[in-house]
Amino acid sequence: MMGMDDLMTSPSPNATTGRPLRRRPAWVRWMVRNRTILPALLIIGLLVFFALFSKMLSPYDPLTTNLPEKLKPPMSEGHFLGTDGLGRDMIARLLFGARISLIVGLGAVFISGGIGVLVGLVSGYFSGKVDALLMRLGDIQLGFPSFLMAISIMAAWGTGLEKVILAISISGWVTYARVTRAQVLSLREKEYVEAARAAGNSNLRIMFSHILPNTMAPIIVIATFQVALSIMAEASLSFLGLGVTPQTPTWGSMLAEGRDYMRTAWWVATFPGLAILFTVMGVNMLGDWMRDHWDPRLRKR
Amino acid sequence: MGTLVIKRLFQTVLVMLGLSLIVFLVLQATADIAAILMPGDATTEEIEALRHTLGLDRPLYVQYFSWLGGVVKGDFGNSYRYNLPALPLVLKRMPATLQLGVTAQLIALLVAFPLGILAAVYRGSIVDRFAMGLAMLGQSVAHFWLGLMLIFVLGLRFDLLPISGTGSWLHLIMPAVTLSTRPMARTARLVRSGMLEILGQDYIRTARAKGLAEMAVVRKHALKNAMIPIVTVIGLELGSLLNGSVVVENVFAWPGVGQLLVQSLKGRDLPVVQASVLLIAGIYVFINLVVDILYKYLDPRVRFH
Repeated sequence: MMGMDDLMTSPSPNATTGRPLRRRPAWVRWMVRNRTILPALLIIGLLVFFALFSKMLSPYDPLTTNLPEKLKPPMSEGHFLGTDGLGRDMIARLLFGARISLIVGLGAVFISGGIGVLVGLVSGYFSGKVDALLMRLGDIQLGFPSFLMAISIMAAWGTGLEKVILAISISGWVTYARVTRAQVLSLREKEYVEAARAAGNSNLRIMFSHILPNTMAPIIVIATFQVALSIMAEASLSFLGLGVTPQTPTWGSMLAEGRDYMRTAWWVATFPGLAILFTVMGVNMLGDWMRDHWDPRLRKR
Repeated sequence: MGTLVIKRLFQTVLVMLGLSLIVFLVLQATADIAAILMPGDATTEEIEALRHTLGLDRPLYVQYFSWLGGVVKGDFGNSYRYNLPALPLVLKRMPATLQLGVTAQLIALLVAFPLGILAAVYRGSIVDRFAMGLAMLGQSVAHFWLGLMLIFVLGLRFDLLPISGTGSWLHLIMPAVTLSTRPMARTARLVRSGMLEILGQDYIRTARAKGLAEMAVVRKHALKNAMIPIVTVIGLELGSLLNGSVVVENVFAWPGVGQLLVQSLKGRDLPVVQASVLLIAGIYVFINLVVDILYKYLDPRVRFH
């Protein structure tokens, strides 16, 4: 299955001859073989880099207003991507927005992934009544449109970064739980698990060190897609004014502000939207690629 | 089959009850309604008194059941803002949302089917790459941003389409196109992968071997069989359109439930919020139910769990 698409569409010299003419370093060969994923890795790498070093890279403070400099178009002196309606530098705000997006994306995945995997493990391993109860809970959760859930929670709790992360992750656990459970159901009948049990290992130890590692591939694929969904959900919440506190620069809230200047200053709304588009696309491409390479069973979804 | 449908209906009732509990707990129990209703300078005693009048000092489960008793009869209480019953306010907005959702779904299907079929038939070609690239874009673009860009280019720059509100079918174009991107992307990918799977089957080779034109193979043999899983997902997409319409309605000032919902959330108009959330969730659950039953009907091999 490895790299089927690549082989069929445009075979690299290595693949067709089977015997490379000149042996290139392993990482170069990997990159040639998997070149479809390089743009995605580049985007994600940049996002992480920007998020980590936003303070150092940023030419201005993202919060400092400078009214005389407001709504400067891109390529202005000192403001490569222009300024917003309060004279704040677009680049500085975009860089800090990257940080928020990354925190929300990863935070939501860790919370809902953690809960979901745990529920799936317990549900699949013990089955019976616990399983039935947990899975019915999952059905109810899936009956609820996830974004609706998130905005309701935000409305009740008020704005804030940690609340956004919680609101987005609350509905995410079911997919993890279902996939983990299905995996556990088949794994727990495997001979090696039986052997581990016969050797006197406790349930906890079997669950976490014998079964869990073997369920990871599809879970990482799901997690990748959820990063993209969470970044999008955060942006949507912020756009509606139900996200992170209003002063914090996020891509969604920048877009909402830019909406008021559509007629006069297109760049204020355009750049954060492009940032969301590229980020989400990069993560989605990575997810697609991992799904195709690691887990053909998930491919049809 | 009959008993299975009944079982599924019973499950749906359970899900709806669960949803009502979530809506109640999230919105009613965590928000301090009395404080919301009173003017900002009210004293603690005044708020406490109002809490008592509204019955908010009763135990949670008592509050839930008395609230649920009203909800079952369609009584969500009066809107704090309009001082009118909440449910009719929401129902009045429903046709606009449905109109937008159905139009978006139609656009999505009209584009996604040809795109997905072409991509599968010409797998690996430039057509396939273009189609899948478009699908990737559609899946990754933020609705509200695409909406704003359309407003900017088509509405403000070239003045081709009205930028917000309702009135003519022209008003419908931009919001519907915006909302259609996500289902379009997913359906196109699904049609492609479904077709690819079917096109690899033996009976397709037989059909080709007997000299059938490629178009006829695709149309008569492949597409028909690829439809079953596709129908399911289309149904589910209809549900997720409701999610998207909340944002899109707010971008285009489209007077549907989504717009009302966000207004009410910001104004903390809880009865209206609860009515809209539960109504949208109810539609979502209902669509899932119908899709499940249809699926069973289309493909007798499928069994309920």
